[in-house]
Order: sequence, then C-alpha cells, then structure tokens
Amino acid sequence: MNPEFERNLWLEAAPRRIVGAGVILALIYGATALVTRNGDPHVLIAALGVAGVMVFVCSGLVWAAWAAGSSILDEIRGRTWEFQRLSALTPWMMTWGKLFGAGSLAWLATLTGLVAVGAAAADLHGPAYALQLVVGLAALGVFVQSCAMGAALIGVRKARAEGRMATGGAVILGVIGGLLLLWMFSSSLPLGAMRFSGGASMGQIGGPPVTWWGQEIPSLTFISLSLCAFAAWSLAGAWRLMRLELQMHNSPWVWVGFLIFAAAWRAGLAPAMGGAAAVVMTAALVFVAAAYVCAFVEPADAVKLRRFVAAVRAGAWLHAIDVAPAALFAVKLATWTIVVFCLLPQPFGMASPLPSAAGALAALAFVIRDLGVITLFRFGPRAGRGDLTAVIALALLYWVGGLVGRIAGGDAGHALFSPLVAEAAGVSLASGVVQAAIAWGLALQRLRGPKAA
Amino acid sequence: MIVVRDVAYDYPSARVLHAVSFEVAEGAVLALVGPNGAGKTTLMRCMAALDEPAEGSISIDGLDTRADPRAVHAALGYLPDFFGLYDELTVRQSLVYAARSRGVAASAAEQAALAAAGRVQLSDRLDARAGHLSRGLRQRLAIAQTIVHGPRVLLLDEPAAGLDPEARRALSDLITRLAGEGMTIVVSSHILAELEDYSTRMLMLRDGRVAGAGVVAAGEPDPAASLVRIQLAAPRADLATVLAGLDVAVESSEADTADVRVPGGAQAEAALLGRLVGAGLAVRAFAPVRRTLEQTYLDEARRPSSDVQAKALKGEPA
Repeated sequence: MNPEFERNLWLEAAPRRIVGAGVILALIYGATALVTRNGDPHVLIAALGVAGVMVFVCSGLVWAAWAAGSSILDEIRGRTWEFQRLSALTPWMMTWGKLFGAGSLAWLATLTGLVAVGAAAADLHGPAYALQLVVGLAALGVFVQSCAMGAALIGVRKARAEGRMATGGAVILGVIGGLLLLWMFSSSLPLGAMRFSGGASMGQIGGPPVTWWGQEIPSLTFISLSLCAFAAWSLAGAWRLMRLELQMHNSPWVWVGFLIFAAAWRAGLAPAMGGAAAVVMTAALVFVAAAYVCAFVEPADAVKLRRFVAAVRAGAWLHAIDVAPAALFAVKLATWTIVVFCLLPQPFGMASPLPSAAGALAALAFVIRDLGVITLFRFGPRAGRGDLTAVIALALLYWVGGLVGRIAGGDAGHALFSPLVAEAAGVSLASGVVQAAIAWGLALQRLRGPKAA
Repeated sequence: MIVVRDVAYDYPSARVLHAVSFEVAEGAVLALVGPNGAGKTTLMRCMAALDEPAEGSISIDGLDTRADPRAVHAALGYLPDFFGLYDELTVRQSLVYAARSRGVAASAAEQAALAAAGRVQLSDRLDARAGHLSRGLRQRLAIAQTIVHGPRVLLLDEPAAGLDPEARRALSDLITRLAGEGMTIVVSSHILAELEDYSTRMLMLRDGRVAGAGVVAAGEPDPAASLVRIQLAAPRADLATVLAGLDVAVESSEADTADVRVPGGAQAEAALLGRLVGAGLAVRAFAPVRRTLEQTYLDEARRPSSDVQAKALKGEPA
C-alpha cells in the first residue's frame, strides 16, 4: 500500500472516528426517513436523495476539500513537511496518498451521499441518467479537492518565497477559484443546463442539449464529461505542483496542454454567429485570463526569474523554457491567437461585440503592461504585500487614469488608459506599447540580482 | 563523499552564501560551525537538495543535488533544526512509515524500524505515542526516522539544541556509534562544546564564506609536533630553565606545569619522558594535549578566509 495513504488512514480513518461518522450519517438519513413517512417509497427515496445531496456538499465538497488542503498545511504547521519532501515516494504517490488518505473519512461519507443521490435519480430518470449524475458529482468532488490541495501547495511556495508561514487562506482561495473557474466556463451553457430543480425531483439536471463545436450533446452528458476532464486536469495540476515541492523540475508542456484544452473547451461553446473570429477571440480570452492568474499565483521567486533572463541572454533556450514563468506561455498563446484573429476576415458590423484588429492588439499591449506592473510590485521589497499593491496599482491605472484621461481628452484621453475605447483603438495601441515598455523596464530593473560581494 | 564547489545562494535581496567550497571524506564527522546567521542552515539545506543554489554544485555520494535531487534525498538523512513528529502515531508507526516512505520494502520495514529504534535506545517505547515523549526522546525518535533507511550521509542541524546534559551525552554517544559504523556525518552548531566529543573535522562559516583554511582537523593533536603537558609532583621554580637545557620547545611554563612541543611522535614523547625523569624532575603526569574545538575555531577565525588566500595567491585584491 502507498505509505502516505496508509499513514493518513491511520490518522483519519481510526475506528473511533469511523463509528462517530457512521452515527452522524445514520442520524441524518434516519431523521430524513422519519420526517417523510407517508408510505410512498418514491417520496422516501427522493427525500433520501435530498439528504444525500446535502451530505455530498458537506462532506465531498467542504470537508474533503479542507482535508486535502490541510494534508499539506498541517505538515507545515507540524514541521514535518521537510521530512516528507525528503521521502523516496514519487510525487504521484504523495499526491493521491494525501488526497484520498486525508479525505478518506470524508469520502466514506460522500459515498453514502452519492448512493442516495444515485438511487433517487435512478428512481426518477432511470439508471443511465443516475450513473452520469453520480460520475459527474464524484468528478466535482475530485476537482474541488485537487484545487484545494493545489492551492495549498501554491500557498506553501508563495509563503516560502515571501518568508512567511503558509495559511489556510490559500485553500479557501483555491476552492473558490476552482468553483469560479467552473462557473465562468459554464456561464455560457444553455439556460437551465446546470439547473438543479428542487424538492422531490432533486437530481434533475435538464435543459436543452449543449452545442459544442457544432455537435449537440445532452446537457448532463456534457456536464459530466466536462467535470471528469476538469477533475483530471486539476489532479494533474496538484501532481505537477507536488513535483515542484519535491525539488523536481517541470517541463511546461502539461501546462501548455491544459491551456489549449481550456481554450478549445471554451471556444467550442462560442456563439456560431461570430464565426471563426469569435472562436479565436474566445480562446485568446482564456489565455489572457490564465496569464493574469499565473502572474498572481506563481511565487515571486526572483532567483528563478534571474535564471530565466540569464538563460535567454545566453541563448540556452531549452533551459529558458524549463524555468520560464507560466504566465509567459499563456501570453505567447494569447499573442498568437490574437494575431490569427487580426488576420481573419472580420464579419462584424457596428453591433458586433468583437473588437477591431487594432483594438485586439491594444488589449494585448495592455495585458503585457499589466503583467509588468504585477511583476514590478510583486518583486518589490515587501513581497508579502505585493499582490494587493499590484491590484491597487492596476485599479488606479484603469479607473483613475481612465477618468482623468476622459476629463482631459475625451475618448482619445480615455483610450490612453483603456484598450476598450473602440473609437480610438490606435491611441490605445500606442499608449499600451509605451506603458508596457516602461512597466517592464522598471520590473527588470528591480529583478537585478544582489551584488555577489 | 561530499563535494561542494563554489556554491552561492541568494535570497531575493541578498547573497547569503559566497563561493563555498569544501570536501568531506567518507566516514568523517564534520563540525559545521560559525556564528548565528553565518549560513550553516542554508548550506545544509542545499546539501540536502531541499534548496537549489544560485551557483555552484554539490555532490553527495556521487549524486548531483541539482541534476538528481530525489536520488540525493534517498541517499541521505537530514534532521533540520526545527523538526516535527506525527504526535498521534506511535514510535513503531512513525518508524515503519519513515522506513516505507524512504524506500524500504514493505516486508523489511518492520525490521528496519525495530533496528532503528534499537540504535537510538527506544526499543522499550515502541507503543508510546510520539506526542507523549520527552524532548530528548523525541530527538532520538527524529534521528531514528532519519537513519531508518541506512543512509550513507547524515546531516544534523543543531541536533543538541534544547537538550539537557544527559540527553546531550546520549546524542553524542549515538553520533559516535554512527560514525563508527562508517556513516559520513555533518553536524552544524554554534555551541562548540557539544561537537567536541565526536567531530573529526571542522569547517567554519562566517558571513556566508568559508573562514580560515576550509576543512581542518578538529581537536586532534598536531601530527608534526604534538603538544604535551607535563605536571610535577613537586614544583620547581627553574622548570623552564631545566626544560630549555633539555632542548625542549616550551610553549608555556609555571612552577609545576609546562606545555611543550614534541616533534617525532609517540617514540619521541616516550624518550622525552625518560629524559625528564633522568634530569630529576618528579613527573606525576605526562600526556598529549588534545587541541579543543574551541581552540581550533579561534585559530581558524584569526586566519584569512580561503577565498581571500586564493585571491592573494593569484595576485588579486581581496
């Protein structure tokens, strides 16, 4: 057995704790059954399904996610993390050993919830529907737990770079971030596709089929498969972060693979009326969003960034790729997709939500400027406050700068500080390029290494 | 066994290790000494492949810490200055987990755990929870976890911090035993007395640089001319004159005690003793003086650092 899984079982799934959890679950399901005593077995099963959903949310999403994050943070607090980093376990063994070992009791409770939900869904909609629902929910649980563990690992690395102790805030941010990602990605699904209808018909996820890359797919099937895919990617992300903690080097290709998957998944949902330009712009937006996330999530490791700069200057491209910031790959992909967007025939008139080619390039320049500003502040002398300071700086540039520009120079003045002024896209582009050069000049100045002597 | 070459380590705003180079031979017990903030812990973490140096290379048992950190992890045992234990696990569970997680086969893990417990004299507490152990016993359990997989290199960072004299003695005996079994050990501390008993070599760090001549013999007699202390049963006011008349190099002298340099090894010392007795001195004690680690430390602290020496040899400014 995986030693890490076994150790977590010793701690988590002790007989006393199993009995305690069993009693609580028996009380929940027993009380539900007592409350719904009306002789109709369908109503009873549906009520137990509702209780199962509650158990799933509480144990599969909240408890298990917290356990997964704590499986890292508790090691930090208990000063046992270095001992673990020195172990001979592979990163994958460490990842799943912690993920499912630390959450073993929570998973036991979650399984009862899934069984109850599955039974209710099967009773209402048939076994195929129930199977897809249960698989989707289980994948959601894995996704949230992996996000929690990944966030904890990111928190540990960020805290180390900033010279402080990691806290549970990272786990909460990771879970919220993961759910936000799902929400953002699913917001374009057809209305009702993600709807949980309440009451006795709990478990029904309905609505019109999803059109994805021109194919009509039943909504539950699409959602379940998507959740499985995102769960697999989040698990891979936790594993890659664990590799870094165990001092192994990650090549960037898994990250690039995820970016392409996410862009393709989201672009497949782009409205058909926008044509190829809409698809490409959707993909570009995914890359840009990923670049911003990376810029804040990666530890402010000046030594690694200096290595990257030195490798680029020396022309050691393979090494440069290995130590490059993750945001760089997202920006490169965004750049390429925006260039493709500019080359495509643009089928939009005044009503089109898509920007012009100049507008898209201006937006890219502002993205690069923003990444320079974020780097400048995150690598400052007070690294612990870098994230917040960077957010404030960007807010000032966009809001205060935009307001002052508009008052002073109308649309052209506003365009100096915003790429979204369609009437003055050329001004935005020129301003964005100049600001990006200034921001990166200052950031690189700050990244200069300490004097060796 | 350990080769460190030109290692530099950077914190974001400052360089904390500067071109540190040294080697440790197999079976040596190296005392890594220096004031607080000298860079001892950072160097140890780099040697344990937990942190990556900005420049230079470190080889542990032929394994490069940068190229193959996981193999280095498996080859060594490292006990950090602030370590933790799984308080809810028993000593047996802790050691079995440590063995399994360090690559010992499941079938051999129990045996390895029992052997490690025996080496640190915890065999009678296998079923005690780690959280219920005293500080000294926790230290022993932590060391047992560190050596359970039979590493060839052991790195101990301030292992005696906070221990009472009895526990320190037990730790000293343990390190001596491990060294006797052929393990190469690096022990860092800024308290020299705790390193005195078992260190064979010493390396001093100061401000992130190797101070003095690098790795030097720790607490051993100078093989060229050992220092011998002579004590008399009856004081002689003219002791220094008598010794000078016997053509002995006197380092220091009082009426009843003198420290003298004796070149030529044990035979020369025995011959000198015969000459002293023949000269009518009532010798009640005659013994080589072990140079204390503190004396070695102070001697090294007075020397220019090795990189300064190297620059001087090359004619570069220090």
